[in-house]
Amino acid sequence: MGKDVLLATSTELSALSVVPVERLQMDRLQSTLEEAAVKSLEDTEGISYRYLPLSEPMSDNQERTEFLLMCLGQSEMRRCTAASEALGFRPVGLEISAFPEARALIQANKDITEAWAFLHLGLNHAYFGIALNGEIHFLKTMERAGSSLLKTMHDGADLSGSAGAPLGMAPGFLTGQEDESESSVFDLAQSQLEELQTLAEEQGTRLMSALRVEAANLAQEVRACLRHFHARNQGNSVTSLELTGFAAGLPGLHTLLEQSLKINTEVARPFTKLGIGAPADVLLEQHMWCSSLGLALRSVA
Amino acid sequence: MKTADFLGETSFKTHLERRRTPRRILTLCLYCAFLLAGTFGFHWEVTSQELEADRSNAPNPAASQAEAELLRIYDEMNQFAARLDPLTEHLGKPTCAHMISGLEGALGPSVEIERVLWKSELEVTKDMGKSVERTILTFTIEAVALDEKTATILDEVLAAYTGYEATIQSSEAVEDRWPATRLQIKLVGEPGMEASSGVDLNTEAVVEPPPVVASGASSTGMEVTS
Repeated sequence: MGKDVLLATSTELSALSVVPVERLQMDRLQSTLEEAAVKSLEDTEGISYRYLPLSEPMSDNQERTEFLLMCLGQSEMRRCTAASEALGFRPVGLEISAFPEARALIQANKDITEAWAFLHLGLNHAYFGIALNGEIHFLKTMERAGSSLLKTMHDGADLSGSAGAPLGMAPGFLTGQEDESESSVFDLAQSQLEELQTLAEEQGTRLMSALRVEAANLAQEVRACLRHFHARNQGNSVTSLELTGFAAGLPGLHTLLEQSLKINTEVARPFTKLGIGAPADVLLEQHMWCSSLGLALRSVA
Repeated sequence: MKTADFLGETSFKTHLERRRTPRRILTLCLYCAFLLAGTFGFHWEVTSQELEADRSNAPNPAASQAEAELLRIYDEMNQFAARLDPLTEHLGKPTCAHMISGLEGALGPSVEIERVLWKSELEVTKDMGKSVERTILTFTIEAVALDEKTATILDEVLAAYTGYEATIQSSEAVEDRWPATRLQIKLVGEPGMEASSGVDLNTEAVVEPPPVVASGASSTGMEVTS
């Protein structure tokens, strides 16, 4: 019995977009989507595309239907399959990571009947999706990825300002004269410790301040998506948000997003919700393993 | 959940089918185990049958002794076989002693039986295209009727007594004993067709019968005297 292998590749030759199609244009849906796919990417070997309807089949009073269009360059597809075959693996599926991630989260949130959202904050890419009744009803690539959050926090921390001393360590710490009396050493250590705590608090405040700015920008993007979903799906509002990916683990981010969006926000814990046993380090960072779990659950969900 | 697989759904379904291989292997293993168990059961049955056959073929002292005793008895019987075979053949032939013994009483005192000859023959007849064989007894009786009336009905008396077909072959007057007549009567019939014995049609004559001496030769050539 063989084991399945997950190969993750990152590329610029893929695109994800929502294409609205008017009722009158439904008879030329394929050509519309094909035009949109060709415009979204450039690849000398051609473009492959897949699409999914984001809403129920068009009713009489519905003027527009939205389709989720996923495009991938043929050269990138060839690169992925060739890479897996070169490693001795037989490629059996090629999905955009949003789908396996959504699959894992949908499986973990089967009990939720209302619409709920997930925000993936990877290092180089981020996307926001909304799930309802076990299907994806909205998916959009976000402008801000985990790397931009990291850079903003790094800049906000102003690490260069404390050059010559390690972060959180006051100048002169543990460098006092050895011939001083024990009481004077104790007093010095006490004052240095207080100074160190003050520096740490200041640093933390700067980090949180930088993160707050970034979270507010992120929340603004998310809010736009929520408005769009609410406009397209009357009567359905998102009740909760789950964070995945590298940046989801940044301390305080989910609290900041929750305060900005006014919806319940938490870091995704699909392994815990599904009761799947995994190594401790995986369980500790399970928000980064959602795609892998979703791939394993493909035959189940 | 709907997904967008750029390699298509077929390859993934094939992959899932491959993942079911252990189940198929398990099914095959169970089937093979069943066949193996059947084979071992058959082998066990054959082995037990072989052991049973070996036990049956093993020399049994009691059976060997009985077989030797039987062979000895056969040897002893074979010594008499040469003498017993003709006797058996003779005993298989039809008998007519019961008719001859009652012949004198049936004819009554007015008849003197001089000679009785008999023989058996095998007669083959065709019936519906099939050959039918039957044994025929032929009697030739020479007797002297002491009076004329007896001479005229003697063949009927014999036919009634024996149930056979009676034919007068010859008749002649006995010299110096008038009205006595010597008759030669032939009787032909199948064994078992005899009429009830003890028929006495000549009840009128009440004379003591002379000593009867009957002699003849059977088809085997043996002399019979009664």
